[in-house]
Amino acid sequence: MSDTEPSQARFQGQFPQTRWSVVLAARDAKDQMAATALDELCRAYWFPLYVYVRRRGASPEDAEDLTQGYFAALIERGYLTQVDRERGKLRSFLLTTLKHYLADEWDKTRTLKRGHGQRLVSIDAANAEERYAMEPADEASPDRLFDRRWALTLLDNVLTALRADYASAGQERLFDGLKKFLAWNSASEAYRETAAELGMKENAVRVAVFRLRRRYGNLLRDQVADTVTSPDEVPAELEQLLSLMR
Amino acid sequence: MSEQSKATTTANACAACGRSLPTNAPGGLCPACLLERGVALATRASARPGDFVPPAPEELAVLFPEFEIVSLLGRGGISAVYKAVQPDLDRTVAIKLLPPETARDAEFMERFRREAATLARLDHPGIVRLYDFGQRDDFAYFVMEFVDGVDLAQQLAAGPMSPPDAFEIVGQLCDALQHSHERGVIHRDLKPANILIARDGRVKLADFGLARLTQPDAGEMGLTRTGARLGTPRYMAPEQLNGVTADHRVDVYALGVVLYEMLTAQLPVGHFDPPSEKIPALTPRLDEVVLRALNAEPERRFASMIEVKERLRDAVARPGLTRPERRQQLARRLFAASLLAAIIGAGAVWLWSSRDASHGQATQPTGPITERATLPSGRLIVFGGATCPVANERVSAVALGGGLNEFGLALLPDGTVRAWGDNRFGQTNVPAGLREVIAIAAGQGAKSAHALALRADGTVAGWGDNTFGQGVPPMGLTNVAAIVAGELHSLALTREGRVVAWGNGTSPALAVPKNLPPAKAIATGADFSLALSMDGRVTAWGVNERGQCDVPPSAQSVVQFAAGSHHALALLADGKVIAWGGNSSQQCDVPATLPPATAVFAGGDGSAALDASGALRVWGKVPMPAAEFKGRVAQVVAGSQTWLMIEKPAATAVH
Repeated sequence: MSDTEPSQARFQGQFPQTRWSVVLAARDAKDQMAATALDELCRAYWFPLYVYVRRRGASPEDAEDLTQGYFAALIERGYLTQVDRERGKLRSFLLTTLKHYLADEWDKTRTLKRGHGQRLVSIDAANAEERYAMEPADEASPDRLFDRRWALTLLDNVLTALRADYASAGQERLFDGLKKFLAWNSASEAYRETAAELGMKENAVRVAVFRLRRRYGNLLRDQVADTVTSPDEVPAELEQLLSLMR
Repeated sequence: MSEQSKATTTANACAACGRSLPTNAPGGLCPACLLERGVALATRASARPGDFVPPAPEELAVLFPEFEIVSLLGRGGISAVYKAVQPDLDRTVAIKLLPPETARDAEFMERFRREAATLARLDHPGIVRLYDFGQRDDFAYFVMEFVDGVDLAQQLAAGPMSPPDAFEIVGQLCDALQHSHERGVIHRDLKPANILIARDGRVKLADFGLARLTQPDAGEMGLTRTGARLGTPRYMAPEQLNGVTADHRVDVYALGVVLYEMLTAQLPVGHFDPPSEKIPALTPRLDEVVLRALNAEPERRFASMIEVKERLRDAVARPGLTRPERRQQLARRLFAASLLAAIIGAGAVWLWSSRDASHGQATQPTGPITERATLPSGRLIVFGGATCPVANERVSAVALGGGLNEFGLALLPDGTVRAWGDNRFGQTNVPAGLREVIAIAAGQGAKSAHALALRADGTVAGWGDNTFGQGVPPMGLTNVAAIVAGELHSLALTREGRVVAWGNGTSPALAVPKNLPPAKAIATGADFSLALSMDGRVTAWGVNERGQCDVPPSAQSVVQFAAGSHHALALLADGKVIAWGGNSSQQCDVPATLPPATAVFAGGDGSAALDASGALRVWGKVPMPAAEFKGRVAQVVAGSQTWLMIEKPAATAVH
């Protein structure tokens, strides 16, 4: 297993680029790189938006239409040109513009099919509803639910990418056996037990855990970096996400 | 965590934090714990590319299960040093970690093992002991003796040392180097950063042979041109720089550079003046010793470290003090000064403040302490409040106490104390004969009326209100490095980092937590107390009616803190300022536009921060026009009525 950090590349050179900064720099969906970057971001973070729309009272069907319609509007209505380039984080940008969009849409007739039937981002409607059903029912504010869901989605994405990384080296079993060490400090027994389960020496388990944590930290940093305008903002955004969990 | 979520904790709860797990928790793991750990890891990971990013202590722990990794003490281009405890052997150690690429180099590891085995045989009180070495994952590491003190580079950053201290240090270095040279071990990278001074005044030489180790082309006998560039050129002998065969006399040369730098605060480069021409008090006979050590031709230098020591002793013969006495004197001068800079608190102000050194072992001393013990000083400017007899005069420190009935203390450059203001409890009756004072403190809070002074010998004097025993320090209290005074209680920090409290026995501010880790600074408000641990964490205890003891979780890597009557400020390593506690005058509303700060001050219900540009920002109840003093502020002392400012001395000022 290698501990190299391919993602370091993004921090090299004078102008570090994050996906979101690429989108902001172009501010024009005709730019192919920006369009691809925006598309990737929307795919990664559509669920918190869906959750927000549902919590605001939309039916599952309307929520799907509104989310899709919103993604179309993002490009068509020029929301991207409105963002404060210096300070706009993807998370706050999406929520603010979604609110504008919903206000506009609710002013229009409710029977109109939203989003002009466009399907820009693949939303698995049945799966979305199933997932929404698991959201806590007692969360009062849609805003708070959106932020919390954002943080959870981010963690989901990081763990999925991390597992795929191990899987590509045929090491899913190792990942599944070790992932519990990502969340908490563990007593010596945990390492011994895991070593027995995985048929490894305890020292080897410790080294593997050390590397897993490093890769997790790097991936988390990169995923967060993709949603802010500069890598310098990563620590502050991480702190905010953490405060949402408390 | 809220009580509610605790109550609903069931089988589906996080084993670590007790929060209930959402049904859709990412990877089935507790999202809060996952993110919390991730934030520590990812924040660390966001350093610049190419740098060696040392693992965080909690991250490293998994590779070193036999140690408790306490903190990261420092990092350089080629290594990171951690403080750790080895519980089985009941000892504190330093673990030095080399970056991963070195351990991937088989040739390097071969050399590493060979060198380390040699170093492990060096056994001398003046050489940092090597206990163990090896490799964990991709890290080669050394386990070494932990030295609690400062390094000489930190010390020299403050200016030249007194000649007796410099001679004492060189004498100890000669002994250590003679020991290693007799065993065929050349240091090769002798420089102030590798010279540690322990709190007892013992000098310890670190990083023996590491220069050769990290230079891939270094042969058995010397260095190649390629290798030489990796060293520290300013301290390198010409033959070392030129890459020709070098012997133990490269250490003689480097020692000459270090001695010259200690005496003059300059490096002997180009056509440099002999020390006695720069410092008239020095004897010209000393010049001969320094110049001979610095000779470009190794043959014309001293042949051995013993010879250096003897010549030095002949040149500067100082009868009188024995070796242990000289060592104690060194320790007293260095650590009284360095810890003085760490005294933090509303009731006390200390010498020129400075950010904690990256090494974290002690706060960097900021002013040269000469033999005559003239303290650094600046002009005192007074805002609001009572008439102050030393306004516009030069003072070294000031303190304000009391509430509406305010009183003040000033530490004068000659080590004596002046007091003014309310005297109903004798709080301005400075004891006759009080001399050699290096720090002062005045009680915080409306009912306070006592004062404390710390002498250079580590003892404490107290006067004023003693109704609750707050005015008179406990019998036998010595070895004190810092003092602060609350409303009805007092605290002292010893040089070992222990916090001692006295005063009103029923006050919770007196109840120093049992498991308080060793502290490097203390502070007190009216009825609460704060301690800053060596690894930058803040512990608070006392009355908590205004949340003044609820230290926010973000108070990590704290380098300095300050307490007002009922609130506190902490300065983080990244220059961020956080505040907590009473907010009646918005003293906790840190301005959103505050630039990264270099120091924080608090008093009464007011707060202030100094930024790198020298600008002062104030918020809360502060009767002072901050903007006028940009670049001139050395210290701010905040009372409940008066604020005092000490101006920075001009750069050329000599006291």
